[in-house]
Amino acid sequence: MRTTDSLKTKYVSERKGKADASRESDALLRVIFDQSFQMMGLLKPDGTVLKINRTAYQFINCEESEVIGRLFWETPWWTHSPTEQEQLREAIKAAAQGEFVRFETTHQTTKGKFVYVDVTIKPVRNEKGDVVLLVPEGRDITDRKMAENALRESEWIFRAVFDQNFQLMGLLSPDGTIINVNRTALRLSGVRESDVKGKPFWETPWWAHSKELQDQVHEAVKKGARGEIVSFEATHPSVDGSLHHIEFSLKPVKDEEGNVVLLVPEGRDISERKRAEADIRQLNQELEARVIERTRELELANREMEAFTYSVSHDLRAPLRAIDGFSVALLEDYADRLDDDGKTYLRYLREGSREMSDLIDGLLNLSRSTRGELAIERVDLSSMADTVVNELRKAEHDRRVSVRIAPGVEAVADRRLLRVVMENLIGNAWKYTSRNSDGCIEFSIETVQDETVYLVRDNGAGFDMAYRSKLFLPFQRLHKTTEFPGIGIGLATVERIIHRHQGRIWAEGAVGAGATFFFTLGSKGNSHEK
Amino acid sequence: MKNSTILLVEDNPKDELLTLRALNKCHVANEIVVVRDGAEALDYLFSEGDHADREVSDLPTLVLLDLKLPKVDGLEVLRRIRADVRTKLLPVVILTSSDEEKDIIAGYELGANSYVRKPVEFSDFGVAVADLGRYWLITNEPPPVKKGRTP
Repeated sequence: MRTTDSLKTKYVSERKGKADASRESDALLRVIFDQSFQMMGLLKPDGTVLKINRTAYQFINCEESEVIGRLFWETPWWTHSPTEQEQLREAIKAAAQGEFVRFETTHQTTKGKFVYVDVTIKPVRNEKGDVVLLVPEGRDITDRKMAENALRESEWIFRAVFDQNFQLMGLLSPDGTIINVNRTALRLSGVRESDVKGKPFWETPWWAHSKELQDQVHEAVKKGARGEIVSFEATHPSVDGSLHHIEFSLKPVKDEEGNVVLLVPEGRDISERKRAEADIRQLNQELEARVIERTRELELANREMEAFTYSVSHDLRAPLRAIDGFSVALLEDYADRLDDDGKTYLRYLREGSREMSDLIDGLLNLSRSTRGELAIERVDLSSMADTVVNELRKAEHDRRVSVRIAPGVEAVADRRLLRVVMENLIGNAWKYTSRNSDGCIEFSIETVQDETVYLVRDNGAGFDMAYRSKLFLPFQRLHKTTEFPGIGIGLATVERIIHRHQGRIWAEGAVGAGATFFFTLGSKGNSHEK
Repeated sequence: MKNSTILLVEDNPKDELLTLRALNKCHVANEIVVVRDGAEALDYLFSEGDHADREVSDLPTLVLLDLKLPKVDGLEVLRRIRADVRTKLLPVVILTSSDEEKDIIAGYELGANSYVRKPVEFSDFGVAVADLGRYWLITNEPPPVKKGRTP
């Protein structure tokens, strides 16, 4: 207080006889001191508090008694932080040496909120130049600090997005000068930011390998400055020396009035995609080549197969014809010189050659059923069944078999192959009813779950369901040849034909109770709505 | 009928014998000329090679043609017969073991008058040959004999 008093004394002594004016002025100063928005105080050079203004008291809501006469750093503004207390003590020490001190600190308000405060401590000297008083001032800079923090944070977020982005990115002024380039772009080509900042974009290392690209980029900048978006595929040299494929774009950023203020170049590294595309292209080519090769091999195999079956068809029959023909010649021309055994043996020769001939025909049918194109057309199965039955009746006209053929049954299928199917299934029914006195054969259709199922049913010898898996295997028979002749290749052929039509075939039966063969023909158009 | 020769083109001697026997059995009395490969068949028909002294216009009434033949195959013989103005109307019956669809189609496409498969069983074979003989030698009215010019 003494210092303040001495200051006042000095002040007053300069204006002797004007005590009233002095008092007025003193009151005015007090008002200014207290009404100031800033926190203010007066300290002795050693830091003892002489006076604190009202704003400062309001700030932390404390009493004069807790403050006056104490060391400033031990007052409630500072006690929340020993670090800041220490900082203040140092500052006061410096100010007492005559320095103007300024620093930022925090105060804790009564509500526990921290505020940022910009503190200055000014030394006041007497005529002799000694520091006699310190004037601390504190301004609440929390709002500014918060704005700064928010800005720093948004800058940080921008930086993170910008730098962490997988895309190459940059910021250019509308004339193409580089303001900023992100880390991804710098890393790709091993460029330092300082090397490219402030340079025209097209003169940077990313384009250095191609004059054409440089021109293209220069042109793009001009277009961008006019507000156009430009994009094209480009390449960038990378640190490892390879060229990376880039999907490049340049977009203008406009202000509210529509002026272009920034250009944003972006580059997406599509090298991986390009490589994958190239790989796929190569794989496709290889695949195609392989398909062509396989097809050729298959065609070759098919041709060989055809030649083989042709030879079988032609050459294997000739010796049989000779065996049978000359047996007949013997029987006819030399009958008088052959006894009964001799004639029987000749008959066996003829039987053998006939069986062989049937076998050849069966094999040829089997092989034909799996090769060649299907000639799909509408086929009248009812009349086909009729024809087959008529041929069977003609061959064995003494057989009494009742045949029921459902009228108007059609299929969309290969006529020639379906004929083989019908001949085999009806032929089998015919054969296996040969021991019945009341043989009965039926050809009709059923519709099961929207699918047309064709069926050939007989009441003949039937078969044991336990062996049904063997029915369709070539050369597998469920009956002895002496019971029912056959070579066991018909149903195998039928199954192959049905499968080639995307259909299914199965059978039901019981020994002595007949058999039913069901088949479908898969493809569209084989349905009968009635 | 000025000439009633049958030309049998057959490389298999047993088939030849059986065919001749069958024709004989059904009393076909025509002269039967047998050639054993396609080349000889063409030589005969066009009076070349061993048959150079034959009159070309003296055509057979009927050709029985096997398909699988040495040197020149049956289909080629047929093609040449149809391609030549002197022989293009000649009745040709394919008599073969093959019942391959493509052979039958090719045979008809090249202008065969008939396609007969040789059955394995002799009785059937005999019937087939006899039918052929009857139809082509008796029932069928052959094309008028044209005097061809020897080239």
